[in-house]
Amino acid sequence: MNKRDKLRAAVVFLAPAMLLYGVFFVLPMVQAFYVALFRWRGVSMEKQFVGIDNFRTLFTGDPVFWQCLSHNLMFLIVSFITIIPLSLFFASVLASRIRGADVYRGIFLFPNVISIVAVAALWSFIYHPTFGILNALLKGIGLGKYATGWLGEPRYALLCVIATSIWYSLGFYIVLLLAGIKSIPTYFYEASALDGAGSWQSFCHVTLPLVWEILKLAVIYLIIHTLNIFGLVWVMTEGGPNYHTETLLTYLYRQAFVQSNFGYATALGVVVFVLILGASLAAGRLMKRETVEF
Amino acid sequence: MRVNLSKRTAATAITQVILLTYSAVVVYPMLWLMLASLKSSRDLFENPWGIPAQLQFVNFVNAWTKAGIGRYFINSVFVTAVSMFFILLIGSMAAYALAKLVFPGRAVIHAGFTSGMMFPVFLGIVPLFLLLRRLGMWDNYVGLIAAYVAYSLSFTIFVLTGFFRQLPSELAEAGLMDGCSEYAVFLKIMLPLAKPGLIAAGIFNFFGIWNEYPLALVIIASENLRTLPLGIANLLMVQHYETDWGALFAGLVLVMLPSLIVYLIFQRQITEGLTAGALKG
Repeated sequence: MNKRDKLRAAVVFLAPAMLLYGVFFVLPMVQAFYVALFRWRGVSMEKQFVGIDNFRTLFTGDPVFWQCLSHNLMFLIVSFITIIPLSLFFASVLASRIRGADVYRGIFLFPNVISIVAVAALWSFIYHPTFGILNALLKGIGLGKYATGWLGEPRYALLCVIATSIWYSLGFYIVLLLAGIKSIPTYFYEASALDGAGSWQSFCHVTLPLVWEILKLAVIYLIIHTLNIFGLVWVMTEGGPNYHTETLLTYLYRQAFVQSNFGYATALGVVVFVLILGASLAAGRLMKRETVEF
Repeated sequence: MRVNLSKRTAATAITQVILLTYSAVVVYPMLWLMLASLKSSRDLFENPWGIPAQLQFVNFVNAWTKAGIGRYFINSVFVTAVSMFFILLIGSMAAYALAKLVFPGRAVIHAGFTSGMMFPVFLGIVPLFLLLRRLGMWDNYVGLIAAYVAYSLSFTIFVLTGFFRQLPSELAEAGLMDGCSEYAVFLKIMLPLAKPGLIAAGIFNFFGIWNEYPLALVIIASENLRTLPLGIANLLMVQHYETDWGALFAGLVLVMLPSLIVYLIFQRQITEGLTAGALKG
């Protein structure tokens, strides 16, 4: 087979993927940076070039944007301080060949494969004011006075959605770190045991440094996931009550598909993309340290 | 020594209690949902915790017929099956070329596909919406499936290229020597050998598309075209006094059941696949 036939085969094999990917993925992504420069109202399809006005409005003239950003930050911070320690704990425990480790791993990961819409619906029922199991639980243990409307309460709504998000994603981080810990050769632990290290010491001096790169990855995933929160909020609260759970992407959706502000919404999309990229790079930089090769 | 040993037993016992507690936190809501899906609305309000007073299998019938879940279920099966077929076909063709054929620009094209994983769905969602409307592909399955295939190619090609690279090139060369065309070599020799890769990519695309919400929300408007996640979200958001709760719960069970089945069958591949990409990358 000569070179020309090879080239022709390569073109035939690649053409469908490149065509579909180019038209329905790359093109919209590239166009986003252009659409963001227009005032583009949906109904009339009239568009007017406004340069960076959309970005200026976002940053200086739109309090809802900052509100959304603070909610996403809250998502990130609460998820970080709960998921990182919990997943490290569960992963270390499951790696220690405790009885039932595989079954626990299977259970913990399961929420991650169900539809986010189903998760949102399920938790809406848990928080339901009249028949929800959370209020029933509180009444059952004598704390009935704390029973409340949860998702309808401005004070609790965001934390309730964040708790759901943690329930949904914790298993993923456990499995990620578990694989990292399992790849550490056992002689490191044997050596530290010989030196008289307890399990806490060997966690600090063996597990943590050797799993650091995976931990860094977990933090970057956490940033990506929490800045991309959409379905959970949209189905559970639609951003309410009164914007108290609105996130960057529910606001983007509202601007684009409820209010038909296509240019403005796309500018917001560009900001979210840059935020994700910037935050991930910053996290990678901050967590940089001598990698231990083994 | 004895003190040490009993200390360790105590630590193990405490750890087991913690593991069991968190398992209950994960499993109980789903168990509650199963029970709730078999209760009458009245039973649900009077007795949110317990076992159904009477098993109301009629909830599933109502969900399937009256609440439209049956329609959404069939829609979801159709969209998922067709999308997966095209993703795996088109993805494996491209991955094979990128892994095994030598041609100029190969590395650039490979990077172009895999770097797509960095871009969030929402960045291009407005231009995609406008594009589909202009092409007459908005609010129909051609547009939805085209979007699903395009959005899934990055990951699929990334996974499958890895699998094709591991296959020995000698097999392909032997096939060519025997007079097979490059296409026959791909279909008859290489594709069957890449089956583990196709299964891995297939599983992740199944979950991705069966559960997908935002793209469907933007692309599908007609009630009769809704996929299961769209239908459930809608039922939940328009709920009012006459809402048939039992039917809604039954619908939720129906959207989770296929995921549970696939998860139980392929659990090993899922846990391995989930982390393999991350650990290598």
